[in-house]
Amino acid sequence: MKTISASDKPLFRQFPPAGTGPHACPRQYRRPPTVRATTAGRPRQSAPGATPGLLRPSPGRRGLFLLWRRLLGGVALSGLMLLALTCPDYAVAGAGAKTETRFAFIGDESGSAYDGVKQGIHEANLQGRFSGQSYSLHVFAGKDIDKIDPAGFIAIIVAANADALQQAGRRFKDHAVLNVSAHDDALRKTCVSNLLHVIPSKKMLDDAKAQWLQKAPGAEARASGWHHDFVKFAARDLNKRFRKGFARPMDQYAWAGWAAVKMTSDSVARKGLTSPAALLDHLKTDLSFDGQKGLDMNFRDTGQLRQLLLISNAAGELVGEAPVRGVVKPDAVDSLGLASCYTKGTSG
Amino acid sequence: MKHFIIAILLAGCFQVAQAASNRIFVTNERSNDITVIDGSSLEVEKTIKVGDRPRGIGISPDGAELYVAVSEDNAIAVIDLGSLELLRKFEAGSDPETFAVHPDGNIYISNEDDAKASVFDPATGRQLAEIQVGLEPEGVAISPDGKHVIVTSESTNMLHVIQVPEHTIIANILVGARPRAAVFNNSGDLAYATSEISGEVKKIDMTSYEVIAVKKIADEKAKPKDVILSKDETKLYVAGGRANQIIVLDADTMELIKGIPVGKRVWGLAMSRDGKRVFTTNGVSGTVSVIDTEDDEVIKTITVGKFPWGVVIDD
Repeated sequence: MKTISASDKPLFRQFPPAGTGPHACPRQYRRPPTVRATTAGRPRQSAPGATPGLLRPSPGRRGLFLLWRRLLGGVALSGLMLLALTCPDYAVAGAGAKTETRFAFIGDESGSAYDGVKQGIHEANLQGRFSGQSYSLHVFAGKDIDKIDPAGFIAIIVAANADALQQAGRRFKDHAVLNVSAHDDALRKTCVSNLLHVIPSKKMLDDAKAQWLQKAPGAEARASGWHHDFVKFAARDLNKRFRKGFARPMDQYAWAGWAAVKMTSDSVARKGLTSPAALLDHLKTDLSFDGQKGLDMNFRDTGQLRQLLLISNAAGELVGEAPVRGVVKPDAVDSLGLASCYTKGTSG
Repeated sequence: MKHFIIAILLAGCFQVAQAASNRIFVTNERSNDITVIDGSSLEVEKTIKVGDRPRGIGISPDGAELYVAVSEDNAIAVIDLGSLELLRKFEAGSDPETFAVHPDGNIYISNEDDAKASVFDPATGRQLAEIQVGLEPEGVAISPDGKHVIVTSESTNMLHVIQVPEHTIIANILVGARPRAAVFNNSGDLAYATSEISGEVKKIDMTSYEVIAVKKIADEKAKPKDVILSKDETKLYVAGGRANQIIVLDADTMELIKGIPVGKRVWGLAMSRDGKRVFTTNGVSGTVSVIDTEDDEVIKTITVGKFPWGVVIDD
């Protein structure tokens, strides 16, 4: 088990990479390298303009700023001041001015889903600077699920296989357990009340491909929850941000990781939710999420996120979207996968 | 000769406060040009090339210059409203899209790629300020007294209220998913904002920064984009995007008054100074619809360039 507290060594040694700042922010990941580099390199007008959280700008902000300049000029400062200067979110969170919302991530840190989750945490903290929230990420290995203390987490994000996901569902029975990597149809059929599948099911991907082949018989096609060249509905912006932050293209697991955090943090910011059960209920019944795929997204009663899928050809190039226009109605997202727990005789 | 020179100088002076030409200017995102429409005949008068992907468009407070955000060139093009000649271009940050012209003449731009808004003096092309906002900033609205600017950030789902001239953020208002555009009322104590993905129009009290009313557009296809308020402040005109209509709401009750069918994928809106006409850009159709606001009917549809985006009236 790996828990992160203020006294721990920095968890994200790669972020920021060596050389972009005097040291990494402790506790948890706060900012990706790009934003950090910009802030460190050009401490200008923007910082006093960006009011953290409250309606009135903090008068101390400008002072911090000037100090920062001195720091860049090579003036040695105490360790604490260093921390406050280079990790402004930390300073605010440490002062208790913000409400901290904690996410647990279960899975492999080398996978793209983890990068997506980190992108989501960064964007949530960006919003949090204006709304008074802060978000942190706490990472656990799949083998440690039964040792994790559920207390204190708002939601659990799982990038692991179906068995581990189900185990997490039982361990965190009052929490939303967000699946960002397992495509198994069986998980959707069981309709476990706290498992929410952000990644598309196998059947959704198969249905999308079948719809495409009706239009283009004999073509080689692959369906996915995301494509790194997708540009519509501001997908271009998300792809650009992700690539800039992590130097890899965003795939469907990274998208699902990003989406899992974003839908949760957005709900927390809007509704002021602090209890995991209230959040779970909100996600299941009242979600209105912009996943940068053009739809107002929400979950089916199977726990599956309704979503647009993307079709690529043999060369991996983006060729279309599903629901496939001309085969089904463009907004018929329930033509993909198992539409409901209560659908009789549905196979797959 | 002396008198002649004086006459020329005088003419020059008068040109500063130019008589309005009553022309309508439309940016065409895909044909990389501007369509000039004669305001009386409603016929296309001319097409001006400005550079790649022109989008946001605005007019200087003195009516002398037309500004166009040329997105692919990362620049604002300045066109003389008398001669319709391109005067100059200035760098305006990465991918300038939407902007608004302040009563003092400065331009407030949202820079989508950089999560910031920037302020430029169009006379010198100099950047005066930069304000960090949320992700994917889009719509920019300026209060009639010039004291407040709203910037919408589409991915952070907020309206950021910026105080002028300090250029500090004084409020952040969470709204529906993908806030797109905003407009102030005449006294500046109310604002209306559209949210594209949640399909909503929100009314905001600009003294308390509270959302005081929400209208969910019933048409599922409606992705509300631009929004303007009628001159008498009784009606809101909302560009319905894929719904292919203008949604007219009662500005007080926020109830639907009517839908006005226009062209496909309607985005941009502009109203004449006298409030009698509304012009819409219909992206996919490549047309501009002219609405008579008396009975809210389309009186003419004008074919313009490819993917018309923004519209402004020199009146």
